This record gives sequence, structure tokens and C-alpha cells, in this order.
Amino acid sequence: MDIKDIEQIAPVSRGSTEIFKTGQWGSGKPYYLEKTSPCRQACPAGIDMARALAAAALGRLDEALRIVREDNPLPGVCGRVCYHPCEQECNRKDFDQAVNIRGFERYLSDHGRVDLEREVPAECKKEKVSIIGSGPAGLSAAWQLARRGYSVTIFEALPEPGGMLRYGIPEYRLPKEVLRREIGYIQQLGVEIRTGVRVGRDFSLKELKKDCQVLFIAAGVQGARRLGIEGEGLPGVVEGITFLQRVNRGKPLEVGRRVAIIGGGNTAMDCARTVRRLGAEEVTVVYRRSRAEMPALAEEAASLETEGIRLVLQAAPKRLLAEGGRLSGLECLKMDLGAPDDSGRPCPVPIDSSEFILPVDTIINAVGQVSEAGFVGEIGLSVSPTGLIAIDPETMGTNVEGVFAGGDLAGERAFVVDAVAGGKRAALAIACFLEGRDFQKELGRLRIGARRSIAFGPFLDPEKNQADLGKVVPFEKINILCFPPAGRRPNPERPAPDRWPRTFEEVTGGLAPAQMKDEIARCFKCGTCVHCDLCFLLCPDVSIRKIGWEGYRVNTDYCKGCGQCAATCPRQVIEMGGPA
Amino acid sequence: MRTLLSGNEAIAEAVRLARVPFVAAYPITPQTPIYEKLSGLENEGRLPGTMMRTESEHSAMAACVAASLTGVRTFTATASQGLALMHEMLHFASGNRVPVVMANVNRVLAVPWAFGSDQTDSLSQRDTGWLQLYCEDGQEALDTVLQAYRIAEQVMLPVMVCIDGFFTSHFIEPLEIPDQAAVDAFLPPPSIPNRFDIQNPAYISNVVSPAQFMRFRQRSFEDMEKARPLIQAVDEEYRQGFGRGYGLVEAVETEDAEIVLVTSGAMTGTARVAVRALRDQGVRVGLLKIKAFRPFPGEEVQAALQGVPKAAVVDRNISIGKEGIFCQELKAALYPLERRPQITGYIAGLCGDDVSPETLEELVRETLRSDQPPPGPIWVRKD
Repeated sequence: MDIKDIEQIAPVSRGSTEIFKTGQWGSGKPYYLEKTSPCRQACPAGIDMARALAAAALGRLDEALRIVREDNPLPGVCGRVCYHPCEQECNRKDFDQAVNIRGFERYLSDHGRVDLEREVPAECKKEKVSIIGSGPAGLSAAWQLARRGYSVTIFEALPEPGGMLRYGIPEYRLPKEVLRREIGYIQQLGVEIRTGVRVGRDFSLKELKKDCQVLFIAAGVQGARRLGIEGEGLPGVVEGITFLQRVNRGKPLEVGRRVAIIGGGNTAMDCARTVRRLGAEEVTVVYRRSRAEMPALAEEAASLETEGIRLVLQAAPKRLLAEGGRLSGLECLKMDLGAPDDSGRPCPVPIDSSEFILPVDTIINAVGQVSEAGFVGEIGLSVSPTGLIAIDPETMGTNVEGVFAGGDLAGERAFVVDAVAGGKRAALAIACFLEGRDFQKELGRLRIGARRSIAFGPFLDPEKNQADLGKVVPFEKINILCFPPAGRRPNPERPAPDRWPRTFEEVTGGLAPAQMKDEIARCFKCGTCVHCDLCFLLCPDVSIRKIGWEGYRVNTDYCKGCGQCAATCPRQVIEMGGPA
Repeated sequence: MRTLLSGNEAIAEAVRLARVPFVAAYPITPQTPIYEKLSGLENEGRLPGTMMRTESEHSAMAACVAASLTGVRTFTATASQGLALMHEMLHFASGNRVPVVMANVNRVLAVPWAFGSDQTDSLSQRDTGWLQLYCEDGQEALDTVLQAYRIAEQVMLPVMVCIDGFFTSHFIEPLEIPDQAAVDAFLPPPSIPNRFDIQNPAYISNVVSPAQFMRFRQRSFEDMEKARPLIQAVDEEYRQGFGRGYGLVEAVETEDAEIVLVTSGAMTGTARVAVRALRDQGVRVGLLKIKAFRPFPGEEVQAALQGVPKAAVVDRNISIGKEGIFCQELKAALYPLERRPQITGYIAGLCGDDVSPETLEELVRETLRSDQPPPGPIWVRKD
């Protein structure tokens, strides 16, 4: 029997079934629309980490770095010191543990190559923008404005750029070399940074404003808030920011054998750990609330113990004691926690007759900073009683046209990534101001999820970045069957923690490539298509076509709308229905 | 080689001897030992090909159909619910004219849930276009699987070989395993056309017009008709080569019989004992074993029962709303005869309920005593 005989007894067709447009049978059709990951929504700077991790998963590290830098030019900084709200909202935390997103950001900065050619703006605009302060807010605004084509000059009072990143954060947390490299990229893109020039001393704000179309003030706050207690003027009482600045300039202040640091924020932690490294034997941090209310990063507070630093909680300084004209002790009062105050934290209430004395040689006051930028009064800027510039938090604009402000001096949250976010938002507001665009309209288009962060990529290039920024992928939409459980790979502690108090070397290491690979694989890439082909392979109607890097297209002539692709998409890129 | 084997193992040996390169199956009681034995043979490197463990019987049959389209010999085995699940694909196999061979180990269908032997599972597949052969014991099962490949590959229709769950599938009997060389001579490599030609792609199972449909169905019907003499011829050739043959039916002492007991499958062995005992008591009783159910051996049944006054058909199956299925088929086959026997139908041994020689003897005597059979079947129950 041969094939011809078979055709006499069993049906065979050599025609095509394409005439049957089976797609007409169904009503719903799947469509591809990339969405937003919860980590991106949680990031004040709005970094598209899911997309960066997807690129990295395909081996495209440089592209991943470019994606990160699209929203934040300081990945090496934030990859080390950020409080990583992204990880708190990572969908993977509901599966096993959050992805080490900050470790990834650092890895990109350490191993990726920056191609500035890709950042050069299509057209150079004639308007000039001057920025006061080269901290994270100023650098962030400068980077985005330069990418938009504006000519940007930053004025920095200190000898080197970086602001608090350079003079506040100690070397063991953020090596200066990393900061130098990242500021270097901003300069290479054309941003001029003039260091050692102080507004209000070397020239006036008025003069500065005359020379440019827009002014962005991000000078930060460097003055120490006073303790307001007896003995504050004694020798041996040091301001925290001054102390850190001196260490970072290589001219540390003399400190005694017994040092107490007052405050519970990152500055207090930095002071305590730095003073320990400088040789102080008895280091004590005194904080008036409980550990839960400490504004410092949990990991920073935890390292106090590692480094043999004592933490005295629920205690507030009452007065400073002197012996022979020199500081000898800190008298404290124990505190109870009362009703919540304006900040939402329980208000510390002194306990009567609970005084105790800590014998000390040096006190470092790290209870907070206040503005000392007197120059802001010059051009009629509206200033708060505490010396902060009043801004419209939506537009970052001040009461003076063409003058914007951000960062600590504008009362924004005093973390690096929040300053980066403020700088970026200001850059958008400034560009809209100069280009006559409707800022609110742009904001509506660029807002990420339901929070404050915005995406800068689609502003620069609306054609690219077609993802739906408003739709954040919830954990329930992740097809967890596609992901094997795997533990988080934390960044290694290096050198060994027992050596920490003796070295200014960085105490946290970067992930090794093999571990990073595991961590990249762990990420769900919520809302970002990684070309996994699951839809392509599972489509029972062979109606999904691959179109290279662009992804997939649904052949609606034959797709019957069964929804398998949408139901199985591991990361909610595919949905049934149609774009509204 | 003479050895002790269960019916399930005998079937697996037959698959090995037939050099079947593609097996696709899903385990189900009481067929599972076939699956296990074939797995074991594959593990030992004694199965000349692939054993595909599918996720369902439906898929197993779909895989066998697809593999057979490439021109290779294929095998699967199932039972009961598995066969029921496969139903749709049984039509695909016969309609596509692929010579798949399947063993079905008869087991009762749920509900209620149970495991014993009952032929309703395979008899429910009567109209799927498959040949159906019912075996009495393990030796017959082994021999029938080998014959089934010859038959299937010549008529290009699939063949189902049935054995009784637990009775035949699990009972260990001495039986003869033929030499590989002798089997190779009887069953040379198949010449099944390969319908997967990438140079000339085609679509099978395609939509056809009513006229085309009628033509294909009629061809299937005619080829099934041709299978009847073919089964006989293949069996005869097998008997010459191996010393054993079974025919479409087997008639025992029917010539002078005043009553003939009609059975199929494993119950036939019991019936042989009962008939012997009754003959010793002077009752003129004969036995008709029906092996081929599709194609139905109408002429052979007529020849065996022409002139016999009474027949008692014992069915281990039931078509609810009618009667025992063999009984029903037998009545239809005998209808053209002028002198046809009076037929009494008995339903016995459902779900593997024990049917002893004494039960059958009593049943014969009762049939002889009654003047007129009742309109429906008589249920043989012990409770």
C-alpha cells in the first residue's frame, strides 16, 4: 500500500486551512502591553528595575545600566546607600524573599559600561540653567536637563562636587571613587561644575540669576540644629555635619577617648561609626525615642552593635557637665513614649528624677540640620521660619518665576534617592517652563503608578517606552508556577565585621557574577516581556508570531480568544480584552 | 519457550516480539502491569524504540495515531475509564486508517466505582470502526496480539485485543513464547505508508463534503468486511507456524447439541468444564465461543447454530435498555435463518462476579426446562 492508496480510504488535504478565519469565532482577544513593577512605583526616583533586570537576564548589562541611568544618574551611590523602598514592595517577597535590587543596581554601576553617546541630546537648546549645589538633587536635575539639551552649570561652594555624598557619607559606606566616576559622566555630558564658589560670598544670587534663564536651588542644609541645653558652648562639643565634613576632607577633628553622639538618624550613625574608626574607645549613641522610631537605616543601626558602639535609647540630653573648663559628662533624662506628635511618631516625655550621667570627653551633636543659606533672601524668595525655601511640591517652583528649588533646602525628605527624585521632577518642571509645555499634562503622562515618582524616558522619547506606567502588577497576577523558589543572595560583608572598627574600607562588597546571575533570574520582571516564548509555545491556534526584539504579535484572524496566553503569562504582560 | 506468565505479561511479550518501536500509554488498573512490563523492557533495552508516558489515554491514542501516520508499528493498552476517555481518538484512529494495535483489559465502568472484569467498556466502543477480538486466556492473548499486527497492517484499520481484567490479566498460566525468528517470519517489518512528508505537506483529519464522507465510510465498512476472511487466513497461517489457532468463533460439540452455550472471553474456559460435566451426565450440550466481535462473524455463528433448538448466551456485560450485547448481536445474526434456535440471554459475572461451572450447568438445565424464554435477560445473582 502506498500513499496514493491511502488517499482513497482516508482524507488528506494538501490545500490550506487558512481560509477558515477561526478568529471570528471569539470575542475577546489578547493584547500585549507592558506594565509597571511595584518596585518602580516604590522607588522615589522611579527606576525601571524590572526592565533593567530583564535586559540583564539577556546578558545586556550595559543596556540595563542605561535603563537605570535613565531615571537616576547615581546608581553606584544609591546601589550602596539607598534605603531601598523598592525591596519592601518587591512582589517576590510574597513568594519567598525580595530580590536584592539595591545589590543589582550597585553591580550594574560596578560592572556596566556607560555609553554617553546614547545620551547626547538630539538638539542643543539655547537656554541656560544654573544650579546651586552639587548634591544628589542638583546632579540629578543637571543630568536630566543636559539630556534634554540644556546648557547647565552647577555652582558648588566646597572644593569637590557631591554635596553630602562627598562630605557627609563616610568612605566605608560610599567610596569617593564611585562618586567621582558618576559625577564624571554628568560632566562628560556637558554639565559644567564650578567648585569652590559660594553664592552670597563670591557672587550674589541676583547676579547668578541674571546670567541664566532658570535657577535651580539645591544647596542643602549644613547648619547643625542646636541642642538648646546648658554647656553647649563647651570645648569638646562638635557638630555632626562639621565632624563628618572634616573627616571627608582629610582633616579630622580631635576627639576624646569617650564620645557620645546625640541623634538617631543616619548622620548620627555615620558619626558614631566614624569616630570609632578614628580610635575612640567608648562610643555611645543617645536617642530619645525607641529603636523602632530611629530614622537611620535598619542596617546602619544594626552595625552599631557589630562595631561595639553602645546605644542608649529613650534618653535625652539635659545638660553638659564640665570639669576644669572642659567637657566631662552628659547628663540625660530617661524618656517615656507618649502620644504621637506631628511626625506620627510617639512623642518622648521626660520621666521626673530619672537623670543619669554619661562620662564623656566629646559630644557630637547629630540631631538634625538647619539651613544656613542666607543668600536665599536676596531675590525675594519666600522662606519658612526655619530658613527653608517654600516651594509648590507639585511643580518645585518658588514664588519667583524661573526659580525652582529642591532637596533638603526645599524641605524634601532628606534621603539621597528622594533628592534625586526632587532633582528629576524639577528638571521636568524646568523643561516644561522653558518649552511652554503644560506641566500637569506631562505629569499625568509620566506618573508611575499612584505615587509621586515619574518616568523621564518617555518625556525625552515618547516613541520608545510604551509601557503602561499607571498599571502596577500585583503579586496575584504573577504566574508563580513559572518560578522555582530560590533564596535571596545578599551582598557579602567584607572585610570581616570584626575588622570594621579599624578600617575605612567599604564594609559591604558587591555580588559575585554567579550570585548576581541567580539574583537576576529570581526577579519576576513584573510587567516586562522577557521574550520567554510561553505564549508562543502554548497558543493552541498557532496565532502568536514572534517579531524579534519587538516581542510578539497576535494573529487575530485565527486567535479564537481562549486566553491561555494571558492566563499563563508569568508577568502580566498579556491581558484579554483590548486597550481602552 | 514455555514459561509461567500472567495475561498482561504475555501481551507485553507479544509487543516485544512484534518489534514495536512506539508505545504510548497511561497506567490504569488492571492494565498497569502491561505498562510496567513494557517500561521494564525499555529499561533493559529490549524494547526496540520509545515508550512515551502520556498524561492521559486520550493523549496516548493521539500519539499512537500520529506515530502510525509516520509508518511505524504502534501499541497502547488501557482499560475501562481509560478507554472511555480515549473514545474520541478511537474514531480518529479508524477514520485515518492507522493500524494501531491496542490491548484492552476489560474492567467495569464507574459508577459505582469497582475493578472487576466486565466487557461493557470495550463493547461500548462497538461503532468506533475498530476490530475487536476477545481472548480466552493468556496464550491466546499473546498469539492474538501478533496476529493483530498482520491483520491491522493489511486492512489498515486499528485492532483492539481484549482480555478479562484480573481473570486473564493477572492469572499466571504456563504458556509458550514463540521464537523471535519465527515471529519475524510471520510478522515482517510493516509497509505502512509514511504520511508525514515535509516535501509534500498535507493536512489529515480535514473537513470533507457529505459525498466524500459517505465514500470514506463505505470504504471502511467494506474493508472491515474484508477483515473477516483475513482474520481466518492469518489465524490459519499462524496455526501452521506455531501450532495454535482460534478462528473467528470456536464451536465445540455443537453438531448433535439440543442446546448450545454461547460465551466470550475468559468465561469460555469455565464453560468448557461445564459442558464436559453435562455431557458426562448425558446432556447434549455444545459450546460456541465468539472471539471476533468486530467484524461480527455472522456466517460462522449461523453455521454453528443452524438447527440447534436452543441457545443460552451468557454475557459479562449489559446494554441497559436492551440486553446482553453478545446476545443481541447473536439474535440479529441468526434472524435470517429459517430454523433458528430459541435464544435465552443471561447476565452473569458483571464486575468479575464469580461464575462457576456449576452455575453454568444449572443455567443450561434451566434453559432446557423452560418452554419460552422471557422477553428480557435473566440475571444470574447469588444474593
